[in-house]
Amino acid sequence: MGILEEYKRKRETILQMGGPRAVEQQHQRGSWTARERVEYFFDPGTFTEIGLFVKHRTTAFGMDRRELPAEGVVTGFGRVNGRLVMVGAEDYTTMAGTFGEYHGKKFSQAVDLAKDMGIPFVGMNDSGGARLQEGMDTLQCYAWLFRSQILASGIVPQIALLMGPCLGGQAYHPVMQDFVFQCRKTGFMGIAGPAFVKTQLGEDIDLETLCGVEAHAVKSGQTHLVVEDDKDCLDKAKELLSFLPSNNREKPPRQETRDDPARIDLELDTLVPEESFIPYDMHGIILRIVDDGHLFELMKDFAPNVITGFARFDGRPAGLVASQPSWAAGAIDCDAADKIARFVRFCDLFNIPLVNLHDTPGYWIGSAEDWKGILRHGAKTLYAYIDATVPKVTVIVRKSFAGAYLGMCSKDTGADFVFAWPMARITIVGAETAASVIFAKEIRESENPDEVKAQRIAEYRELNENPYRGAERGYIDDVIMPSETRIYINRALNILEDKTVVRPWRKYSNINL
Amino acid sequence: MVAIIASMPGRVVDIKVKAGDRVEPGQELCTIEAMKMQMPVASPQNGVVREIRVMVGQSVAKGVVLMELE
Repeated sequence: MGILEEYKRKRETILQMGGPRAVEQQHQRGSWTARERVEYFFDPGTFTEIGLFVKHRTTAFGMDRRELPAEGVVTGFGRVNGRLVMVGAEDYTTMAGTFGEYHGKKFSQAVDLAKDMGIPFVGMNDSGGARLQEGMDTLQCYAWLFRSQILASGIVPQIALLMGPCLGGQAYHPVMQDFVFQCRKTGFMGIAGPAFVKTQLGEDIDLETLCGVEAHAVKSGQTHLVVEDDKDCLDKAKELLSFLPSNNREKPPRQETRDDPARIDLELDTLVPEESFIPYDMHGIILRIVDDGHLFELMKDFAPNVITGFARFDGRPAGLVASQPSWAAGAIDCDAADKIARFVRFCDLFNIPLVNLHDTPGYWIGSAEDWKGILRHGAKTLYAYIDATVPKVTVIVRKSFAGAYLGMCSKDTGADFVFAWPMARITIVGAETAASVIFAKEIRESENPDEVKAQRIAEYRELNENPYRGAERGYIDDVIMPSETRIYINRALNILEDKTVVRPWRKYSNINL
Repeated sequence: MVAIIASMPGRVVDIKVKAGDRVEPGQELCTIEAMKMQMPVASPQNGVVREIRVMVGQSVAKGVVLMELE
């Protein structure tokens, strides 16, 4: 056989991955193969594979007789909607996509190349775990991978797509990336699977419950987006990339939009209930002020008392952080604080401006949250907003009390501009608490304590539960008509376009962790 | 039997149904007040109120069963 024919045969064999039967099983599970995913993800004809011929060098445990096409992982680069992106796609059909020395080396080198070339890295995770046959070589290779991705963190965006069972080390490397998308019935993540957990701890639990979407999108807060299947996953990954720059030296890509940046929405003037204790859905406000009513929400089911996601204002991508008054009073608990802080820090890493909407009565009080550490968790939002140098615009919709007023970004805790709606109540604590404390003696000693208390509360409320005390001091830049919110946000983002901050050098701040 | 659970700690300020009432999805069953907000607790489904486990004025922790529907 001629040299060229031999080469083509070798190549063709590797492209068959684990063989037709393994591919069929993959399809029956409701999943695409690694190569099908790569094909769908990239613009046609733009993908260049690297390391197709890489091979393991293990001989123990019968490994000398095993051919593993491409070492069970497809790595390379191509264009996604015209922009270069690096990919590492684990191939489950080849020895369950297990992570061995050379599989890991390919993965690490792909991450390194993405970092050096300044392009995003997308990991398509579909693996049965570590390749135990390779022993120490496998273990050390995780060290290389973790180091590569952590050194790349904050330089290029990294997105992890969970499309298969990813346990142990195979769950660690996705979770350390910037965003994790998890496929509903096929994506799993966990430090150890049910079998291991049963033998070591005696705990009886199935894979879905321990490691599925409910576990991570709702309970642990490690999954940012639940997707229905491989296609949905890849579509959403492409959409997320459209909000992000390719690396930390670039600005996020601005799009053309037909949505007038000065669009007034009269519905906003009456959307918020008069009584401040009545909840409403903050999405109703968000969708009216962003371009085209579109929010790419992340972590929807974790700490729903705050909303985080990407949207555009006059074509400019921005990170949106908003209280959700219809869940847990919109007050900030430990989980909500963590959610806000990491999102804010990601936006700061990649030059994405932040828009913050307040309607929160404060940080959660009580033993449950206090013992969980609401103090140190709550501090994270302050660190995140003050450390951040991107443009930050805050709009106070209704309540903004106490620590949460500070922690959700206000004047002097990071905000460049703060606007308030006329129905805003911005004060150190609510009238009830304040009056009860300030006039405690008077109330206690009076003949009609209830009456006096009610009177003092009304006084305090009248004086302080409004936006004007803050506006008088210049802590609120202006009180605005709700219907004009979009105008103000866009004008603020315009003037902040070239914001630069110069600070004395330090390694980083000692953010509470 | 479906347990209606408090999604946040607080005080029960209003109970809008009684045992034996038929309820629809979205119908307000009771109200919990905390952190200056009154949060309505809505029924997730069609059903009949079996047992109300709390009283107006009672403080509840997160996760406490407020009532049971059948």
